[in-house]
Amino acid sequence: MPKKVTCEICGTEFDIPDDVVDGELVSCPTCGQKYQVVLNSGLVQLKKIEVEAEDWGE
Amino acid sequence: MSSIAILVTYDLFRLDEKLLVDELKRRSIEFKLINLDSLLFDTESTSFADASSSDIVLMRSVSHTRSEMFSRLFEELGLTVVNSFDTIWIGNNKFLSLVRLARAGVPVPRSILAVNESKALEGFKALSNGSCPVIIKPISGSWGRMVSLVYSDSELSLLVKHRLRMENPYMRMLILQEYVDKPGRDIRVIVVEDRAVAAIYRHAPSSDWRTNTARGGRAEAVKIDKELEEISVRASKAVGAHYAGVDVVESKDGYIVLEVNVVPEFKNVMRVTGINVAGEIIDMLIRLAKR
Repeated sequence: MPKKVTCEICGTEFDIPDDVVDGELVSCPTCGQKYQVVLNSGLVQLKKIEVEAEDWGE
Repeated sequence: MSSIAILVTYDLFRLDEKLLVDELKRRSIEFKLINLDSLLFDTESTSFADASSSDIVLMRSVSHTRSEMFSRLFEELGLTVVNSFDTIWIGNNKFLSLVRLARAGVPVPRSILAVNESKALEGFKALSNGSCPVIIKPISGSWGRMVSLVYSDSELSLLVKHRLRMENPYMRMLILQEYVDKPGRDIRVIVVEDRAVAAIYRHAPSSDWRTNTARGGRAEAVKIDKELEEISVRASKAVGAHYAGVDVVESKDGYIVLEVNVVPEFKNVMRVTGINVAGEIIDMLIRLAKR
């Protein structure tokens, strides 16, 4: 069963599929806010991505 | 099942990593997905994740610090990492990359490193020649962040003052770079070993002079000519990369390489060109593992 999560920016509920990978990048289908999926003992949590605060790049 | 195992290490699992994993599955290659967030290293352990020395680690961390730390750590444990720590370290430092490229005969924009305001002003004068804008950017970073155009001494002075007060010391090492007049687009070339496998034009969005697709620019496929292939492969080799995303601009004097991305994103190149870049990368890893 896909897990329902709620976007903390716009409140949209959206599905996280069963085969989601720990660390996977997902986006809110309404406002586009990006999240990283954190899997913790079967529990799906979303971590908001704030790229400006990270040393991310190619 | 093949006896080769590929360890795909990542932290943010993007479409790029998904595409790579799909190609591994399609080839029935044994692989392990390792989220670097979940690792716990112990000095008392002499191996890593039951890996054997014939296995290859594909480093896909989106974080510069982590890609450096973990690639070096895996190498310390005797594993082959793609790209290697040396390549990742050079690639993550834009100024070292430019120096390496220039020394390998790859045309790059004239660039100056400055770590204080007076030297930055000196560099600005040398580059601006009284007229054209100069680019200011930190030695590390990506997707066009913290990249600014400066038109005057006073603007530069203000910007440098701000940058020098930033908490992150990397942001206080400034590259001043000649602004290359480009036709509103640049080229992202994906190089795998000796070949430019696919390339796209990235058009700057109308509201921005930067062309990074992360900034919302439009993309279209490029027919790779001999000169573009030659310059891109030479740039990738200069930093010792097995595969790379080489950013090139078309200047009035010919192709100029802006940077070499050593943990490159390629999903847009795949989408726009229809070329199976992920498959090319996986085939390269298999060849390396068999050596």
